[in-house]
Amino acid sequence: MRKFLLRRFAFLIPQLFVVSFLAFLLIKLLPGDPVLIILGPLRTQEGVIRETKRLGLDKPFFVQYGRYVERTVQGDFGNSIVTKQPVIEELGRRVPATLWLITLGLVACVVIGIGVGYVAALAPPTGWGTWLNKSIIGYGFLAGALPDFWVGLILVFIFFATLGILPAPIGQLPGYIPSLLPDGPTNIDLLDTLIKGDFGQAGTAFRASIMPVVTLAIVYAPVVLKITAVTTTEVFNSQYVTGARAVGVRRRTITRYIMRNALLPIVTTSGVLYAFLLGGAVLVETVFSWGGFGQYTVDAVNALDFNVIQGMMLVAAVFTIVVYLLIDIIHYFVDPRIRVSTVGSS
Amino acid sequence: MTTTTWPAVRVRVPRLSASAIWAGMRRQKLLTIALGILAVMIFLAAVGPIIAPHDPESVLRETLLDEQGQPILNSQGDPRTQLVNLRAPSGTYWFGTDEKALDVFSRTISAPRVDLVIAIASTIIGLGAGSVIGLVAGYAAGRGRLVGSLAEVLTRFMDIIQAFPVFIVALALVAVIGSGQDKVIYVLSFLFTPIFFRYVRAETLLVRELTFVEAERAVGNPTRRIMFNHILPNSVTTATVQGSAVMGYAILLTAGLSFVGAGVAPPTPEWGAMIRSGVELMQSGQWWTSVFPGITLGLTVFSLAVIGESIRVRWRGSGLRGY
Repeated sequence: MRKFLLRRFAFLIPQLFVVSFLAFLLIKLLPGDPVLIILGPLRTQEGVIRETKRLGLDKPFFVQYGRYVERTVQGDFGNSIVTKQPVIEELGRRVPATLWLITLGLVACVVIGIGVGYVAALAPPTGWGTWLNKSIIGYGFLAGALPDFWVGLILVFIFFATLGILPAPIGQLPGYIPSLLPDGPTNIDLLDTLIKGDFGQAGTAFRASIMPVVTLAIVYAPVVLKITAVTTTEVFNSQYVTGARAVGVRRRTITRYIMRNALLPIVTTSGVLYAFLLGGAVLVETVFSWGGFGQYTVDAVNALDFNVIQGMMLVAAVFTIVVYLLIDIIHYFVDPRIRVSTVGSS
Repeated sequence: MTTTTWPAVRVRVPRLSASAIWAGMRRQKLLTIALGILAVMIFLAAVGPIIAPHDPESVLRETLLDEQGQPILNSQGDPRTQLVNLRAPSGTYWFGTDEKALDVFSRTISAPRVDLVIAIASTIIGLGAGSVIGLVAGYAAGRGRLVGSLAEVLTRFMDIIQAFPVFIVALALVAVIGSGQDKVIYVLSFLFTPIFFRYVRAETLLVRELTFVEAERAVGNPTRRIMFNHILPNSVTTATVQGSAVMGYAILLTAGLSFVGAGVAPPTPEWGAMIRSGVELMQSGQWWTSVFPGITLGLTVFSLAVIGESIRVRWRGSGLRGY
């Protein structure tokens, strides 16, 4: 157990190095001199030289990279050119909101996906079973073809513009000026208002999160649904399940047998989806003015805010790496074969 | 010495008649619909801007009149401009007009020239680059010390690129090289290369061990010819089969980039940018500027996914995969 985890964690270090190097390299490739962007049009010759020296841009490439790694490890991501604030603080304020959104989205996808997928796999191959399976396939193709941001806009049109039953897509807490937003410990407005005990605002925040989460569920649930239906069908048709059914094992026990074996591909797919959602959330956040990592990213790219771009690349990559690590750890606990093979190989 | 003569074998090739095609179409309804949609889109990519009833890139020529019959100029300052510019779908403007008085229908049918061209070009470049690099990496894997470890480094590098969330890398790359149709093609080609690389490398690792490759070497073929003339054609199948799905993905990515203002900028007709122009309008109830381009985009990606899936199903169990 410890050996497996140690080896898996040791693998993180070279991964992080390569990722940080790529993030650094990318920024080096950016057009334009960062010094000129920072100082703006009203600059003096000495100012440029001083700033270049201060940022260490007169040093050789690998010295610069070394300094970059040193700063990053200490949590210093530099300052944003646009807001002049430290990037790490801005990320700290914005990343939780995005993680919250995509976590809720993932939970919705997994619940819907496993639920419906399981029913579809065990449904009789006649009548409503055929109908259900056909609609799932069709829905899967359709949902995979629609841009998530467009689906979000359609929901806005129906539930806000036409029916008026959900709040406008203007952030996590509609009706509040961003600067007056509650400053709480989690930086997630729904949780912060709950912690403060302000249930009126919490209600608003809850209603505001319905549409973005439903958007993610509509577009991405078929991913989990499909893999659940396929693997469950496979396991259901396997000989040991047929055997268990033949000798009259209870239905509940059989369900446990099936789930245990179908779970691994579902976990992997859900994990990959989770990592993917961080990128997908960029667009959904834009539609709902969520004020999270995604919008921050878009603003940074449009303003060529290189420290922010570097920071966001790093956050995105680290998130992906951590999610893949979690998948491996879950596999370790769910699949006894991994435990045996690591013992055998050591 | 006796020579064996083989009995003549008559192979019946099924004739491709109209009724056979018709029967096939009835059997594969979904695929037929998908192929139909794709054919329309390709047709529009060729002639869309020409057959469009209005100019897709400049405002309507006819002057818009207010209640008194006075012309309203397309000036920024006039609050009436936006309301008048926006017209609901009608006989003249089938999909309505957007907030800049551009005809949504003309723009929607002109967009395939941008979106489909990006999708096809980036998929072909990605497939080409991924195949060649994958072939080299697969053939060199585990060979000599230097070549083998270079191949290993290359493979790891491709893995790391895929570790970053695709859309975020696309955004960052667009920031580096700039936006516009050609730039989006470069960025997507770069992002698709590792996808195809993986398939071709994995296939190459299998194919290079087959007997016929050994035979080619035994008769003295140069390495380059063995790689490109004999191994490559046998190892690109799985990658090529993914092409259709990747093309659909390319359209979604292009639209996403344009939606956040980092892809193809207006007034060039592009579905994602058109959907973006309707973001505020959807809140105030003018649905047509976003809905129609979204549906057209969705139909295109849907047809590519269906075609990709049926190619994939057809390919399984035949060819080299089944050896």
